[in-house]
Amino acid sequence: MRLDAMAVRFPQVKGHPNRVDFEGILTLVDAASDRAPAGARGHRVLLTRAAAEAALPSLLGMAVDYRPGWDGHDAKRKIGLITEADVVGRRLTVRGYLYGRDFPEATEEIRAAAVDVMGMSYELADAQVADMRAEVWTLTKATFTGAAILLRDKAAYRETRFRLAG
Amino acid sequence: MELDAGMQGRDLVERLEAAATLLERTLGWLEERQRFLSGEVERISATVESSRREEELVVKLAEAERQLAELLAAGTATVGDGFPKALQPLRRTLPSATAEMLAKSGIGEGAVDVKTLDAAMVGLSLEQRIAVKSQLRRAGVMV
Repeated sequence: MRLDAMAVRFPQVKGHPNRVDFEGILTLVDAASDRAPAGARGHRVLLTRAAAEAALPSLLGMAVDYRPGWDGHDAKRKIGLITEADVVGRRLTVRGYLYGRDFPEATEEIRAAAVDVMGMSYELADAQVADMRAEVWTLTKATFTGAAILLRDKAAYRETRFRLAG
Repeated sequence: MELDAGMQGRDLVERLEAAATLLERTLGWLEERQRFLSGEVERISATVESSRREEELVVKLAEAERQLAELLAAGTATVGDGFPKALQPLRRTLPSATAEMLAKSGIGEGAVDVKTLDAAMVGLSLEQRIAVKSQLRRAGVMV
């Protein structure tokens, strides 16, 4: 198994009232999405491992957002922060924290959801597609601009996960 | 003479504006084409994109499911005699002559017992008894 990791270090503040740790599987690498993502003109996409690893630094410090109904992205509702990103096998995992005090209802909804219900979705900018005519778009370069917490069945990758730690 | 020159000038300006608009459109199309050929995509979100048509279908499906649930609930609900509510209209399909004849023999709205029915139809011919029974079966009131 190959592992690539990257993190930004924040000072530990024990019992911080506004930090609720989370972890999640943001996407899979070298695997085609189960469904076509928004912006991909109906094509399923495959993020190569090399592109994902190269883009890891762009993921750190980006926000996680949510939309009421948990069915998509809303960049104006930034509910937390990504502080760590790893590529473990074919999984791109992320860790960070939600602003639990600022978004108590949303945090509680996530906490109350069943284990396998919530997933994640990435936001990419300036993606490079190897062949625009291919049935599955292979992304060879991209920049992460954020991520969303949403219901797994609304995510283009069904294998994504999201859960609060503890 | 001056009037003609003015009109020609306006005409020329309009033609130039139209040509400029066309050029702008062509430039936009070329840029889009160039982006497509270069394989650059400005933004991708790994969220399933649902079209307006899909959203309409989801709403319609939800409405159909709601109506089906209501019909199923109505179908299983029964009135006092245990006859399904949803099938009550069938009872009204019984010909009035038959209903009157049964009423005279003390057979009312409820389910009809075969023995009681036979007793009530003593005065009828075999063909008439068969006809009444088949009407009652069709109406779903014979037990």
